[in-house]
Amino acid sequence: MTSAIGLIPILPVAAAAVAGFLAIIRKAEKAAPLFTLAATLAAGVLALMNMPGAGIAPHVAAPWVNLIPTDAALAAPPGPTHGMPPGLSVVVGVTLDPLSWIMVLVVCSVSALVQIYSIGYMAAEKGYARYYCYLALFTASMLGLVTADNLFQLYVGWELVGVCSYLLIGFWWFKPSAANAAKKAFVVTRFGDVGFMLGVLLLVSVAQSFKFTDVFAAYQAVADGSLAVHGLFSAQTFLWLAPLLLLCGAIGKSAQFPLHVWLPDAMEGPTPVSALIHAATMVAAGVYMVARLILLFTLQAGGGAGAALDVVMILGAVTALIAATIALVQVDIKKVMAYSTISQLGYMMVGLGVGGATGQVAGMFHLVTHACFKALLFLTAGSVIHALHHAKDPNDMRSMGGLMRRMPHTAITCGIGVLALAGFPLLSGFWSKDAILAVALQRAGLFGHAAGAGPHAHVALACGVAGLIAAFLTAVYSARMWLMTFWGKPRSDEAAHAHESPAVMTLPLWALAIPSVAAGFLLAHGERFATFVLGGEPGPSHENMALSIVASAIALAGLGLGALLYARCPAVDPVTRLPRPVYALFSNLWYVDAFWSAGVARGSLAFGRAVAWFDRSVIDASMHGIAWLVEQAALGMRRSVSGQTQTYAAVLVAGTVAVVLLMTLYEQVVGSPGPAAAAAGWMVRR
Amino acid sequence: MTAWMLTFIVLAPLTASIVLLMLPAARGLAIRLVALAGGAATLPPSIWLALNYDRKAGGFQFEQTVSWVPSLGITYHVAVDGLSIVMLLLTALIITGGVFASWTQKNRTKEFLSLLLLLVSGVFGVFVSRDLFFLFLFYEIAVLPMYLLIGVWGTTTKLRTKEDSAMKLTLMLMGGSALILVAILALYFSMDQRTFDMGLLAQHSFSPEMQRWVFLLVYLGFGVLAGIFPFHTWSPDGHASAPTAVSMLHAGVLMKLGAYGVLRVGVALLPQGAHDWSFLMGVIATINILYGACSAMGQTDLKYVIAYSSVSHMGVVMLGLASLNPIGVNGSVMQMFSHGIMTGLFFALVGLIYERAHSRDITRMGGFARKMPGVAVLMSIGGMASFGLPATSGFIAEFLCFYGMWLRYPILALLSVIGIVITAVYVLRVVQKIFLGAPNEEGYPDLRDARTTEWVATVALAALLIVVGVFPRPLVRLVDLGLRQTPGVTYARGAGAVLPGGP
Repeated sequence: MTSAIGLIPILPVAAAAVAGFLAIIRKAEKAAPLFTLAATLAAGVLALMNMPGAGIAPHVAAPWVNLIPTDAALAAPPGPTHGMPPGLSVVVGVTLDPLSWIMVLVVCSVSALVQIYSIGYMAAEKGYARYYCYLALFTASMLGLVTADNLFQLYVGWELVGVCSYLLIGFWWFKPSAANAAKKAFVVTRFGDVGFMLGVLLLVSVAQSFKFTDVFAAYQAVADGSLAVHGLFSAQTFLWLAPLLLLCGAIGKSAQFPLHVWLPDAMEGPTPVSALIHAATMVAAGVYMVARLILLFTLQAGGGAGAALDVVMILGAVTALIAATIALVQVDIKKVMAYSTISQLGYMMVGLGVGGATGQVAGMFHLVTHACFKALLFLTAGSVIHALHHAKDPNDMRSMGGLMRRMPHTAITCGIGVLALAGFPLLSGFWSKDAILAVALQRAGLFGHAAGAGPHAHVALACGVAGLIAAFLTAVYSARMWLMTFWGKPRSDEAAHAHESPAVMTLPLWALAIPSVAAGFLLAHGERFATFVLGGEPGPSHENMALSIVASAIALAGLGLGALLYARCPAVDPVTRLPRPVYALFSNLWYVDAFWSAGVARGSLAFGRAVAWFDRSVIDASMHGIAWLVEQAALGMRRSVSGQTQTYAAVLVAGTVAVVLLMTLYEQVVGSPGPAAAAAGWMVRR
Repeated sequence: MTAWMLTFIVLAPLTASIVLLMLPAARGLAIRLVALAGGAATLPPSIWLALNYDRKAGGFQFEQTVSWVPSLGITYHVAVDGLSIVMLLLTALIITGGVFASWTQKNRTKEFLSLLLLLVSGVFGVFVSRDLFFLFLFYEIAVLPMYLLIGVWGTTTKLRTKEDSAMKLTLMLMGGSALILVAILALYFSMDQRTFDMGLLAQHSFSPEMQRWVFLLVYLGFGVLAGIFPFHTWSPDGHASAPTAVSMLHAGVLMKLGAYGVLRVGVALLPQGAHDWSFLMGVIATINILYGACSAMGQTDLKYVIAYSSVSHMGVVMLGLASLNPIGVNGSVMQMFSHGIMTGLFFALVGLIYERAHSRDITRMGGFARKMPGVAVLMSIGGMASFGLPATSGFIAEFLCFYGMWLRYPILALLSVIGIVITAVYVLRVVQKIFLGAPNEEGYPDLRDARTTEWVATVALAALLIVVGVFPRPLVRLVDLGLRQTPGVTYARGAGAVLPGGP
C-alpha cells in the first residue's frame, strides 16, 4: 500500500485536468466538484492509511533529472558526493514523515471543506469548473510541496502554489482590482523567492545534493570545519547566509514584514479561496519550510546564540505586532482577518525562532490550530458576504450589525473562531499561543528555563513581550470584529434582510468549529503533538501554569475591553478616537504599502522606461552612429574615385617615388634592406 | 538509408522552396500545402533521430561524408549528436508552426513561403554541418532571406520603416559574419593539413594566444545573432517589423544559431579561448538578462516587449554557456529549446491579436480575455514558461543555467537571478494590460478567438512547453550526451572544492 502514496499529489492533478476539460467545453460544469472532492478525499485517506510510525516514514520516489559526471556515478549510492565534481540529480517523490503527514491532513481536510462550501458559495458564478480546476491544482501543488524530501521539490511546489494563488486571486479577472491584486501577490512573493532560489543554489553547491538530510549533514560538516568552503564566502558567512536566504522566501510566502503587503490585497479573490490559501495552507508554507529546515537555523548557533534565529524571531514579533495594530482599525471584515492572519503567522515565526525541536513543535502546533480556526473565520466571513452580496460593499462591517439573529449558525461558529483566535482559555488558540509564548519567554529565563542552542536571551524576552502585547490586541480586534458584525441592530437594509446560508455552507463551518474548540487540548494533552512530530521521543514539557494564567488574563482583558467598547454598538467607532498620529499610523498601514507602491513599484516602472529610452537613444543610436560614420567615410572616399586618368597617374607616380625614397632612406639609416624591400623582392620572385 | 537522413532534413524545405517557385501564384491552397509538406516533412525524421540516437555510444552519429573540393579540404560532412538533435526538433516544430501561422498570409504568398523554407533549410544545415565551410555557407543562407522577408512583407512601425529595420538587421548580422569568416580562415590556415572538418580541427590544439583572439572573433561574430549586448539593437526593430512567421523563426530558431555557433565553433574548437573569455561572456549575459528585462518593462508596443524579452532570455542562454560546465551548458541548450518554443508561441499569438485588434499598443487594450479566452490561456502558459515557472520547460532550463553559473562565477549568478522578478513583472503586466480588467470592446469590433489552423500550432507549442517542463529528462539526457564529448565543457574541478569561485 505504501507505493500508493505516490498518488497523493497526482490524484488532484488528474481531477484538475478533468475540471479544466469541463471548463473548456463549458458543459456539465456542476460536475467538477465531484471529481476534485473525490480526489482530495482520496489523497487524505491514502495519507491516513500510511501514518508514519516510530522511525518509519513511508516514501516513494522517482528520478526526474540526472546530470552526473560519469555513468559510474549513477551506480554510486545516493547521497552527497563530496570530492566528486558537481553534478545534479533530482529525485521527486512523496515522503510522509510526521511533519509532512500533519500538513497533508491539514491541506486535504481544509481543502475538502472549502470545496464543499464553495458548492454553495460559487453556485451562481460563471467559471464554476475553472474555479474547481484551480482549487485542485492548488491542492496538488501544496501536497507536492509538503511531501518533498528535497529542496528542489520544495521549490517547485513553492512556485506552483504561488501561481495557483495568482490564478485564484485573479479569478474575477475582469475586475481591475482583482487583476492588480493577483499581480501584486505574485510579484511580491517572487521578490522573496529570489533569496530562496539563491539559498537553494548555495546549499546545493555545498551539499551536492538536494535531499534535506544531505543538506543538513553538509551544513553540519561545514560548522564542524570538516568540510571546507572556499570561494565567494567564508564558512562563517555561509553558515548564517544560507538560512537567511531561505528565510527570504518565507518572508514573501508567509507574508512577513515587510513583504506582507500582498496578503490583504489578495482578499480580492473569492472568500473560500482566502480561507484555503491565504489563511490555512499556502501562507503557512513559509512557516512549514522554516520548521522543516530548522536545523539549518539552529546548528549555526552552535552551543551559544544564533543570529539567524534572532532574525526569525524579531521578524515574527514585528510582524505580529504591526499587523495586530492594523487589524484593529480595519472596517473591511476580510481585511481584519487578513491582518490577523499576518499577525498569527508572525506568532508562528516567533515560535520557530526559539530554534531546535522546541521551536519547530511550537511553530507547527500553532500552524495546525490556526489552520482550523482561521479557515473557519474566513468561511464565516464568506457566509456573511454571501448573505449581503447585494450591498454596495458587502465586506464593510459598518453596514453590518445584528446578524446574530438572522444567521445563527454563522454567528455562533464565528464566535467560536473568534474566541479561539483570541486565546480564550482551553480553546485551541489558547494552547498553541501559550506554547509559543512559553518557549520564547523560557528562552529569556522567565517561567522556566530552556537549554541548548537558541536566540539571544534579550531578543527572546523582547519578542515574548511583544507576543503578549499582540495577544492583547488580538483579543480586542477579535471582539470588535464579531460585535460589529453580529451584535446590536442592523445598520443597513441588506443586513436587516440577510438570510442564513444553505446547509452546504454551514456544515463545513461546524466541521471546522469542532477542532477549533478541541484540537488544542487534544494535541497538547500529554505532549501528544510534540511526541508525534519528534518521532516518538517525548519532548520536555513547556507548560507553565503561571504563564497560562497570565496569558488567559491578557486574552480575557482584551476581550473584555472589546466588549466594553463595542457591545453597545456606538455610532462612532471607538478606535477612531485613538490619538491622531497613532490612528493615522495604523490606518495608513504603517506606510509600508505606500513605500512599496509609490516607491518601489512606480520607481521600477520608471526605471524600465528609462532603460528603454537609454536603449533607443544611446545604444541603438550609437549603432546608427557607426553606420553614419561609414556612410560619411564612403562619401569622402567617393571623391578619390573620380575617373580622371591624369589624377590616377599622378597618384601612381607620387606613390612609387615615395616608396622608393622610403626604402632608400631605410637602407641608409639601418644599413640593411627593410621589410618593404623584402616584400618587394618576394613579390618579384613570385 | 540512415546516412541520408540528415541530408533529407536539409533538402526537404529547400526542395519545397524551389517547387513553390514553379507553382502558379493563383493556386493558393496548393502553395500552402507544398509549404506545409516541406516544413512538416522534417518533423518525423527529427523525431526518428531523437529516438534512434545510440545513447550508449554517444558522440556524433548518422554521419555522411561526401568529398566536395578535395584540394581545399572542403567536405560535405554532416552528423549530429544529442545536442544537435534537440535543435533539429526545435527547428522542425517552429517551421511547421510558422507555416500554419502564415496560413492566412495573402500578399505574395508563394514567394514568402519559398523564402521562409529556404531560410529554414539553411538553419537545418547549420545544425547538422561538421564542416566549417558548409556551416558558414548554411549560416549565410539562413540569415540573408531575412532581408527580403522583412523588407517586403514587414510592417512599418512608428519608429522605423520596414526597409530600415530589414537593412539594419542584415547589416549588423553581416558584420558578425565578417568576423566569423576571419575566424574560420584563421583556423583553416593555422593547420598544416588544409581542412574545414570540425572533428579534425577539434583535435588540433591551437596556441593559447591564437585561441584567445580567434575565440573573441567567434564570440562577437555569432554573438550578434544571439543578441548580445550592445549588439542586440537589430532585434527589437527587426522583430517588430517582421511578419508573424518570420518573427517566430527568427526569435525562435535563428537567434539560437548564434549561441550554437559560439558553442560549436568557439567552445568546442577553442576551449582555452573560451576559458579566457568566460567571465566577459558571463558579464555580458548578465547585462542582457537584466537590461533586456528592464527594457521590456518599459515598452508599450507588444512586439517590442516580446523582442526585448528575447534579448533577456538569450542572456540566460549565454549565461549557461559561459559557465562552461555541463550543468550550465545543458541549461543553455534547454533554454534555447524552451525559449524557441515559447517565443514562437508568443509571436504566433501576437500575430493573432494584432490581426484582430489592429493595434499593438498594450496601453489601449484590456479585457480581451472575454472575447479570446483561448488566446489568453495560451499566452499565460507562454508567460509562465517565460518567467521560469516549474512544470514549464523554462524552469529546468533557467535553473540549470543559474546553477551552472553559480558554480563558476557565483556573483554573476546572484545578479542574474534578480531577472526572475523583473521577468515576472513585465509578463504579468502584459497579460493584465491585454487580457484582464474591464473589457475595452468598443474600439475592437473584430476581436474573436483563434480558429482552426490557428489553433494547431499554438496549442501544440503551449502543450510542448508543459510536457517538456514536466518530463524534461529525455531531452536533458540527449543534450548531456552531446556535451560529454564537447571539449571545453568539463566537469573538471578540484576535489573537495565545494563552494564556487573559480577553478
